[in-house]
Amino acid sequence: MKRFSILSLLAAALLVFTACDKIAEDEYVVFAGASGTWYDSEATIPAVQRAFVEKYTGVRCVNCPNADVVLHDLSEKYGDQLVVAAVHVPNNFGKPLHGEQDLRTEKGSTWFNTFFSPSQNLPSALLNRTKVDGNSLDIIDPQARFDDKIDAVLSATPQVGMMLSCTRDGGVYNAEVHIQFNQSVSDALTLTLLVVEDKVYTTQEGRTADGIVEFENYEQNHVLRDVVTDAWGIDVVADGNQGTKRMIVLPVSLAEGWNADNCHLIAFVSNKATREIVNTAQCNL
Amino acid sequence: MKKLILTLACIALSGIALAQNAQLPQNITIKALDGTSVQTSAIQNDGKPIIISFWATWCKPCNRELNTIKEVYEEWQEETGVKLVAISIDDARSAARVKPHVDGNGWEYEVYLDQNQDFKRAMNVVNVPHTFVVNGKGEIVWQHTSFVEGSEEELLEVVKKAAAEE
Amino acid sequence: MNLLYKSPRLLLLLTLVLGGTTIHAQGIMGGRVTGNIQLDGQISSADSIIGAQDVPEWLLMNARADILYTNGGFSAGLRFEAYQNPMLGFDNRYKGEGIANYFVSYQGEKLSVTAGNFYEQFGSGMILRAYEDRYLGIDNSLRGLNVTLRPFNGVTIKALAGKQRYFWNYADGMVRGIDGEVNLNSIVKCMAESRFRATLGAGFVSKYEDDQTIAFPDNPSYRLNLPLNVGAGAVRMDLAYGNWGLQAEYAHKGQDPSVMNNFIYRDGEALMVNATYSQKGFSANVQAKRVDNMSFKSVRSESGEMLYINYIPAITKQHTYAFLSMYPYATQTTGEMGLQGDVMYKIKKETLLGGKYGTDIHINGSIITSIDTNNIGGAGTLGYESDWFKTGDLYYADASLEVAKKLSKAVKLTCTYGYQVFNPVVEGHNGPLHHNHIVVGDLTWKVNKKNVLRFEAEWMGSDSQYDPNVDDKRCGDWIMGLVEYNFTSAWFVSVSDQYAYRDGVGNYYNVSVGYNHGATRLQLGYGKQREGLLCIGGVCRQVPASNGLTFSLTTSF
Repeated sequence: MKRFSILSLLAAALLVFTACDKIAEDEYVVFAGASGTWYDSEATIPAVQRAFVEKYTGVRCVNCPNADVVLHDLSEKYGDQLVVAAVHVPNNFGKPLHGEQDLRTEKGSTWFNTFFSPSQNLPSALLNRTKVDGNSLDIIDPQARFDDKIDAVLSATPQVGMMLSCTRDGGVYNAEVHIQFNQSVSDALTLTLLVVEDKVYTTQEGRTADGIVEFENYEQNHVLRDVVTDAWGIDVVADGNQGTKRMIVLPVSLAEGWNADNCHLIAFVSNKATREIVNTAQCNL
Repeated sequence: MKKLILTLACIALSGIALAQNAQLPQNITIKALDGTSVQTSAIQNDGKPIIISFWATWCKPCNRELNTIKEVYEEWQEETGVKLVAISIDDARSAARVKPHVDGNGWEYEVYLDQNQDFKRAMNVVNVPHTFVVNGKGEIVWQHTSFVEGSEEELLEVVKKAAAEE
Repeated sequence: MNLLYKSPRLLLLLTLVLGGTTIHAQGIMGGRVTGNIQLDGQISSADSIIGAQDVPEWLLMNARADILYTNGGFSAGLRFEAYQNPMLGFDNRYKGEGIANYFVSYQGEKLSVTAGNFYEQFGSGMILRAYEDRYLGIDNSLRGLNVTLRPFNGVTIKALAGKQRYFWNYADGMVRGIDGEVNLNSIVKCMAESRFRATLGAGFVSKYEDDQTIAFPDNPSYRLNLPLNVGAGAVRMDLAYGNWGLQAEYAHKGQDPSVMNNFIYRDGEALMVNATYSQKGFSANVQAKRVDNMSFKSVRSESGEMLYINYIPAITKQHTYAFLSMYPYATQTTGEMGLQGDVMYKIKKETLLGGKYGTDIHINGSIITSIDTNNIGGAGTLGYESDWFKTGDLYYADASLEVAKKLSKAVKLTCTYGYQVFNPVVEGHNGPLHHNHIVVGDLTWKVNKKNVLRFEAEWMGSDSQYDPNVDDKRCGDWIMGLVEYNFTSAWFVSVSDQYAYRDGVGNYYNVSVGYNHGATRLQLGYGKQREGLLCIGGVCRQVPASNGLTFSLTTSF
């Protein structure tokens, strides 16, 4: 009994002793998540419709390099009208190889877990998060071109025009977002801002004529680094009447190891209820 | 409000009526001046009476009480065999000064520290000085709060009575 | 006020308690019920001259009753408190009544366990001290579990976990702690009889509090990354050799950004050293301390005096004469350095200076300064750097000489001279230093066995002048007289007046009558109470002035 109580006291001692958090000096202050105030905009906002493709991928997904080829070609064809983010999935496919950097993100995982079942085949893509018959998500296999779907999105007159510019103010980047309602919108909208990075080099599993291989120093593009806003965006504060122009400035911080020269910011406006993306824009840092 | 006062007074009276001759608490830890922890059961005087005085270095009446008794302590001891145990309730601010204070005043009492005031709470001491007389059976037979010169005589009477009980 | 009608549970409880005592009287349970009761009240009226507030309630009262049931090593207790309304100087959040505190406890020789509210202290309390001071309205009791083990003679291990009382609620922060203490003389055989006495101890305390959003003031898009667990540890020793003694304790606290330190991430530390020499009739001690960023509270957003987990004592002398304690010094937990020296000497009887009865001399001096700080940033940074040995601004200095002499069998005279320098910044406002000279004469005349008279005269000369913009009513030069008559230790009457005769405002007259019987004390007073810091038991708190009738009843049973 005595021995038991001494042991449990020692255990308690260990617990108390280790219960002391030490925060590194460069982490005293953390980004609180973008927030800002909406103002009326005076800018001239082009009425251009763009399409947002989120590609779900992973370094252990042997078919995923096929999608990269397709998306590269599509980007060449559509230019800045096609905006791409590569989300590395939280399951085994996304697990880093050889202890390399982890390309998975918390909010990217939130998206994956919301849109897909854990056993979803990869690669998979969503285009503006559109739904088939307004019901279930239209999940695209991006190993094949899907020009027709993109054309369908781009041919519509944009409900909302968007403009995004990136500025640097001291050590802080600012994303200045302008939107214009080209027609009246009664649904609540949200604005989501994210950081993607090109030219991130990791090992990637793939398939060649010889079977499954590992590509060393594989170039990963459009890698989702962080969703700066909440995963589902911040509310767009606007009356939604035709002709209304609103703007907001959101601060962005880059984590250590991200190369600012290869980073882009992507903003998209989506329907708060259905999450369908209304329009999007991209800028380089 | 009247009812509240009445009720509290009622408990007080019932308590006074029923809690005569309470025993000294046994297993409360206090500290001797050399830093060793002792239990209150160690407060013993071979069946002779004990005066327990709660005091503090900063308490003027306490110091007057202990200094006044000091002058007659030898006589009292010879007459009744009594022992005075002084319990300091000084906290960290002045606890380190208790031993110099006791020596500087030349007190030859048994002195303990009750820094966490466990003993004080168990004895229901509210203000210092608060003095108890414990008889040879370890029963609290008398208590008093406050001190003025001359009241040591009353204390001696109580001690004599307790000593005579043997 | 129909308290009992309003709270039937209370009535039930009191019935149970009374029932309990009855059962005890019949000897069924074999235990014993004891307790104490305290009632304090005041009937105040406004007074613009001394600054007492007009109080809408004509009667302010604090009441409290502790009831303790003991049966061998087992005990259980509860405390009833009522503040209808809280007295001036008590936080208004105390308003209300109910059972504030309860516990069950087993105290054995090798094991003590308390569940419920408990008070505890590790070492001198620099990392943990759960305590109460009923006169200051402070109750830092923890509600939880407290276990003490004494596996061998000379070894004590304490472990505890709980949440701190916060008025009528409990704070969110969880406090956990463990402490061990070893008395070497008890466990090392060859040291048992040694003149060298040594006790060593160490403790750790950890506080857990949920995350919250504290904006980074330089850029509101950023927030502070707060440590949820804040740890503090301390080591201590208590050594004695013959007449010599040395006590030291060092405490260190991990990152703890809080309102108290303006959310900086600097570690905290405190060192306190006390050396004494004493023999019969002579004693001396020197005390030094350095405190740096050691405010440790269970809730990081709590300012004020509540929810301290630790206790850093002031090392200045605790004066009890009115003018000597008019400017009390309160520990600056965020940073201070101090030195204190104290000498007591008894001049022997039948010597030239000692006279027939001997003379007591007591000299004390202390000096407290801020620590040196070199600012390197605000919230969300390390805050500042500090040179360990460099002192900063003077906070407080105090020197006093007290001579006590029995003039005859019936007359005893105590004379005190004190000099103080006080920096108002310790009370949170800037201003010139106050330099005060104080002289006190205190004469007790035992007329006969039953009648004792006491006279007290005080004078304070100060370079401070009353400024209505600052409204510090302590400024100026003061005189005071007090006459106290005691009929045995049962009755007393006292009359006093404090008057600012130059450069000040205020005239504080007071008449008090008291009656003591056994453990019961009843006191009635009429007059004006000074605004200022009220310091009892080493803690200071601001109390506003009051003007009117006060009464106080304490009893224990």
